[in-house]
Parts: sequence; structure tokens; C-alpha cells
Amino acid sequence: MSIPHPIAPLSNPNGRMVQLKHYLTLKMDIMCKIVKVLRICFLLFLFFWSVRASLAFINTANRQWNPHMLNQDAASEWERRLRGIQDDLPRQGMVGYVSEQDYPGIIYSATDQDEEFSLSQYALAPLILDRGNTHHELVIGNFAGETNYQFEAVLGLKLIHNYGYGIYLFEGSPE
Amino acid sequence: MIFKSFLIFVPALLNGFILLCLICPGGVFSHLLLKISLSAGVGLGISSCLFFFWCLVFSPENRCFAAAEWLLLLCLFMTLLYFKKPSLKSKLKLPTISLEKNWLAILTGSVLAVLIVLTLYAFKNYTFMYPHGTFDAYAIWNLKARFIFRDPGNWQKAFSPLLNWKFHADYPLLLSLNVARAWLQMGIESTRVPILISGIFLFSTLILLFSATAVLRDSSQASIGALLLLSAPWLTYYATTQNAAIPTAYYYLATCFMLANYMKNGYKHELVLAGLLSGLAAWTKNEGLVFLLACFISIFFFSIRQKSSANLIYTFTAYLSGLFVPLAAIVYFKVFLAPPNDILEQQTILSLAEKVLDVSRLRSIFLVFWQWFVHLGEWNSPVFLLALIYGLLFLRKPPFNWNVVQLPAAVVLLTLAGYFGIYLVTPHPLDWHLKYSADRLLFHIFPAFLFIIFISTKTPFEIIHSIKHELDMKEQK
Repeated sequence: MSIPHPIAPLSNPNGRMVQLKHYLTLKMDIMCKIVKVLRICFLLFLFFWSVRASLAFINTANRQWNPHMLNQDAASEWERRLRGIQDDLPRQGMVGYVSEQDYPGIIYSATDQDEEFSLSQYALAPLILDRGNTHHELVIGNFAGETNYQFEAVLGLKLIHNYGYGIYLFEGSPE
Repeated sequence: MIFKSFLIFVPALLNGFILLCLICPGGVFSHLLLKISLSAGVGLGISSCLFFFWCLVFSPENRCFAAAEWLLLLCLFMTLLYFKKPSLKSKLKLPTISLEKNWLAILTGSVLAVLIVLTLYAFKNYTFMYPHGTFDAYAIWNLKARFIFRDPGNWQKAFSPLLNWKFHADYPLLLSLNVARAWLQMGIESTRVPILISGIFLFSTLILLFSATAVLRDSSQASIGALLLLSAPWLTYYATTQNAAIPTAYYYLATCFMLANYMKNGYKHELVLAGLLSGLAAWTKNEGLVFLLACFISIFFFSIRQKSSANLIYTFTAYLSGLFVPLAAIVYFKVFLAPPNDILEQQTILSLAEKVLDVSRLRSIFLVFWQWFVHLGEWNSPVFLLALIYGLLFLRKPPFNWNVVQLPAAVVLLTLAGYFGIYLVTPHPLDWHLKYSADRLLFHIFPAFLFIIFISTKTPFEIIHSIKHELDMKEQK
């Protein structure tokens, strides 16, 4: 359909207004049609996009599944690691907890330190762990790596037992 | 073990269901999907409040709680039988879910159903690989449950101020008490219990969004909304990692739905339920207290807008009557048991003013919020943005009672403003705080945001129907 130009010269001014109105109505009609098409397209897009995104995550989650790796998650592993020291600790009360971040000059990851401290507290509850405080009768040590640690000289802690995997039990210096 | 865990929660879930039938009588089987999804949150929430009072009066060691819960179920059931009069049915009922039999509703509904089943399978696969959950689960919720289960005689040590602040001993107890209660009843510390609770909240959130949208719009619209929620990778991820963001989001959504319904129908029971659900949100996480405050402010302003003091009193009486039980638990816990909150501790007026006036902090928070708004969950999923575009493209035209949307929208916006304010005054390093919590906080409002968008827009059926109608008209011409 050909649309007459709105400012085309016309001898009759009233006729020009009618033509302009007609032109705008047609334009609006086209705009409405475009919006409607856009709506349908967006609706279809949203539908397929949602399905695709959901399936993508379902796929990711399913890939995590490995029946041979059950109970090998960080919390389960950490509980196994602390099983030895757990027998030598009181069930309740409070003990100290030190790790790499309390030992001067050691490079450490703050996130790992937080994670391991939380996992230790989770494994040993209801015993309360006092982070970074050596002024307790018993102090748990969590020090990974091959560093030649001088616990007594640097932290004033007397080693009671080394349980392996970087887990130690110390005699602290209660106030 | 999953089945055994589920059996433990059966009385709680049934109590929730019967309570809903009593508060909104409309026949037990009417709007069943909605009642089932709501009863999960109501049941588990009330059960944890009751167990909290039980622990205060007796001890967690006292094994009679299960018997008390069954007894409560019996009482509620008898009450339901007594009060289930036909005259009430017609007067006070929620509108029924419109399950249309058009091809669009069937198509979208079927796709949603298939995806929910697949998500259930994925949830099982993911969560069994991480049965203890991630940091929030083992450092906060399950840790408290362990304290209570392993030393029930000294259960209050779970909130000891001696605990490191990262374990947030002041956080409310809805999840921890539900887990501890089940462990105590089973006599074993099974990881299946928190997994089951996470699963219940995950699927209840999905079904609630679907049924709530279907009640106020239609089922094709509801399916699109639920599909969009499901497409946010956060949803399943947070549930599988036993994060409290899902139960919190669930209670926000349920409250917003009740408020929208109240604005539409004006029934008091909807406000009672809104009070209960917002209280349970605050009993789930500290952030819920911000939400509770947002509810108070919004309800207050919407009530005074109607220029009637009687209406204000009526509204608040109904809201507070629902809020009473969870609020009593929160107040007792916060006043007598919980250590001071890490955000509010050691704050002075001067330090607060300094932070509030710091433009760089404002900018950082805005940027992070915007980043999460556009790229949700680090999966490059602009779900928020897509929902917003949907809202703009499909916005409903009058005649439409905008109050239905305005009240829940005001609650969500005020909650967001409250979160913004918390970041502004946080005593922790701002970048660290934003990095480790902003995504979860934004997720809290996400299902409610979707609900608001989808009740304020035209349904796909309406769009297609209008086009069809136009084509028919042209053909007739």
C-alpha cells in the first residue's frame, strides 16, 4: 500500500489534514503490528531460552554425579582427617586453633584458611574452636606443606601429637 | 533414609496443610497445588517455632515432641472437621487456579513438568555428591544443628558468643531446628535430612510461583514464569548446596502472593497468612528482618492511603495475629540467646555517617547490584533483565487493579533498599562482603520479582487471542 507523503503540496488545507491523519493512522498501524510481532518473537525466545538454560544446568548437575566419588566431598574428607585428633580432644569446652595464617612469614590462601577452619569446627562440634588463640590447654594445629615449622620457638606451642595430613595437637599456654 | 526423614516431617507438613485449610476455607481439594506448596513452608516454619519453645520449656532431649506434633495434628484435624461448614466455603475462598485446556497452556505446562522432573533428578545427582552442602550449610545451619544434636543438654551453646563470628551464631533457627529435631527423632546425624529440607523448599518455590501466578493470571503465564525461575542456575545450585537463600526466597514469594491477594480481595485471612509467612522469613535468616520491616512500612502506607483509622487497625491486627508466633520466637531468641550481630556490633553514629556519606561505597554497591542484575549467577544468564523486558513488552492496560501489584512491589523495593543500606554501613570490607553475599541477597527477591512481573503483564494466551481476533475481524471486513 502506498502512503502519501504528509507534506505533499495540496491546494485544500482541510484535505491536507485528512491526509496527515490517514498517514499517521497507517504508521501507528504498522507500529502496532511490529510490536505484536516483537512480542510473539520475544515470547518464543523466552520460552526456548528458559528451556535451554534449564537443560544446561541440569546437564551440569548430572555431570557431577560419580557413584565412585560418593562421600569424597570436602566436608566428609575433612571429618576423616580429624578423626584421629577427635579421640584426644574433649567432647565439649573450648580449644585453640592455629593454622598457616597465624605463623609469621607463611604464604596462605585466606579462603582456604576460612574453609578449613569452618570444616574443623563443623567436624568437632560441640567443641568450640578459638581461632588464632594459643592460650588454651589444648591447641589444634592445621599446617600444610613441607615447611620446617618451629612451633615451640615461634608460637610457644609444645607438640603433643602429629596426626599426619598437617593436623597437630599442641599443649598451649593457658593464661 | 530419605523416606525415614520424610516421615519425620509428615506431621509438620500436614499441620501446615490443615492450618491453611482452616485459615482459607474453600474445600480441602480446591486450589490443592497452591495449598501443598504453601503448606511446606507454613508447616516446617511453625514446627521449628514450636520446637524452639519446646526446647526452652523442656529440652531437645525430651523425645515427646513428635507425639506432641501428632497430637496437634489430631486437634487441627478435628477443628477442620468441626468448622468445615458450607457457608464459609462460598464466602472466604481464594480464587481457584485456572487450568485452561488450550494448546498453549498444555504445551508450556508439559514442558515445565518435564523440566521439573529432570531438575529433581539433577538435584539428587548434585546434592549427593556434596551431602554436607557448601560453606553456609556447614558453617551456619548444619553446624548449629550439630551442636543441638550432639549436646542437647547444652543446646544453647549453638549460639555461644565464643563461636567465631563467621559462624553467625545470631542467625535465626528455622532450618537448624528442623534439621536437629529430625536428627534427634531418628537418633542419627543423617545428611539426608538437610538435603530433604532443601528439596522441599526448592520444589515448593517452583510450584508456589506457578500456582500463585495461575491464581491471579492463568496457567500459561504461570508456566512461563516458573520456566524463567527454573532457568536461573542459582535456584537449583543454592538448593543442592543447602543454602538458606531458597527458603528465604520462598517466604518472600509466599508473602508477596498473600499481599497481592489481600489487595485484590480484601480478606483478612490473607493478611494473617502474610504476617505468618513474613515472620517465618525473618525466622529463617537475618535478612528476613529487613523484609519484615519492609512489609510493615508498605502495609502501613497502603492502609493510611485508604484514609480510615479503622482500616489501619483492622489491617495491623490481622497482620500481627499471623506474625505473633514467629515474632515471639525471634524476639526471645534475639533478646535472650543470640550474641550481638556482627553488622551492628561496634558501630558508632560517626562511623555510620562516614560510611553513608561515602560516595565510592554507593558506587561500588550500585555497580555490583547492576552486575548481578545483568549477569545473574556467573552463568551469563540475564534472567532479571529478560523478565524486565517481558514486563515492559506485555504490561497490562487498565482496567486493572494496580494495587495488587503495587503493595508486593513496594515490599520488594524496600527490601532491596534495606539490603543496599546494610552494605552501605557494613563494618566488613565492602568488596569482600559484596563478593560473598550480593548474589544470594538478590536471589531472595528474584521469585517475588518474577511473580510481580507476571501478574502485571498480559498472558501469552491473551496476546495470541488478540492477534487471532484481529485477523478474524479483517477477514470479516
